[in-house]
Amino acid sequence: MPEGEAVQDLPLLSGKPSSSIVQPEKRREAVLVESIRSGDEEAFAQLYRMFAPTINAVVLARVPRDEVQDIVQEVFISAFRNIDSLKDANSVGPWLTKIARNRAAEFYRKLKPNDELDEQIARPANRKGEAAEVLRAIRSLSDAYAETLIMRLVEGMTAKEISERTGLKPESVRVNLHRGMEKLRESLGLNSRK
Amino acid sequence: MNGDYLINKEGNDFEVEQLESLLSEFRIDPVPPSMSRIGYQEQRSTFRRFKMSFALGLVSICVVLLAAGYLFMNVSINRDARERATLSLTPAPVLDNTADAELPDIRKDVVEQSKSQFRHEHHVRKLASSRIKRSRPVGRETAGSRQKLTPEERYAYQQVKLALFIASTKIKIVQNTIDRVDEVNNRSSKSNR
Repeated sequence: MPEGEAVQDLPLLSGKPSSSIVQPEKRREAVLVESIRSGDEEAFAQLYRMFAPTINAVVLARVPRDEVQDIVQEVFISAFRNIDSLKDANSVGPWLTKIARNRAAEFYRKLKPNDELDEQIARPANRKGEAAEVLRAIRSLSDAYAETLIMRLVEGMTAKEISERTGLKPESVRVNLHRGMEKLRESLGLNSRK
Repeated sequence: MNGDYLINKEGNDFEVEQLESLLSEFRIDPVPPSMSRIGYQEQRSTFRRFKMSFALGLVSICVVLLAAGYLFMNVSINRDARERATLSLTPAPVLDNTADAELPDIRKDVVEQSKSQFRHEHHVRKLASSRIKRSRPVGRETAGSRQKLTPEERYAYQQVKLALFIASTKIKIVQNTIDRVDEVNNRSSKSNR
């Protein structure tokens, strides 16, 4: 290949603007955000289906189960109302998880001191009780481990999906999953099968 | 533990699968919220945003209305007071025919008599009116109580006033006569000297 042709193939050296290099790749959620901004209801529904499991995991890691669904809906309603304040449409996932964390914190701020959380008190010995026990054990871990484990074990997301939705690095997600799983085993008294 | 299954869901891991199956009940059913709910929230938040403005506007309207009402009341009260003062400063009214109609027949002759007497003494009243105006108390009670009087009481009130007018006028005449006599006496004594 002649030298001149090779230079022309490089967009930065040829002087021609190339959207594929100068601008970041437009992800699917960014397209949805733009559609929502222009008033597309279906785009909002798609965005909800895409991110609801992630937001559910973030909220479930912090808040009693009965309150989770309402808070998840509030998160999306808040996002819909403030969608114009989102600067980078590619980072809608981290933005939504941040809203979810804030909403969960707000839930505990509004909670009166005398209010009891039934989920933490009742521990029936059936399968439902076991699930609640495991969830309680996951919640006892740090937020990073708890969120990642719930996304994996409750929502069935892979490490790659978790990374894409939350904006975390894939390595961080893998580490969180492995270490979180080890700590969960310890907490539940299970034998590690290494 | 199968790390691939935990990370990529490849292969098998009984323990993780069991946990997945156990925790699946917490999985969300991704049904997006209805737009009507969002719209409702939107309206509610809009109202909440302008609630303070609405309240302030309402309060200011109330204040303006109260101030206007207060001013109007003040003006009307002052006007009434002026009218009442004017009424109280006018000479005692002559009994009219409507008042006569309300009186019993027995009293009518007395009223007629008083009327003629009243007219007869009119010039005396004119003389005394300036002094009366100064001395008579100006107040709402007089006007108000006059309005509540029955015809008989009103007649009696007029009679008493008339008697007082006549008495004061006669006293004045007497005083003038005494003054004149004194003056004549003084002059005569001076001329004698």
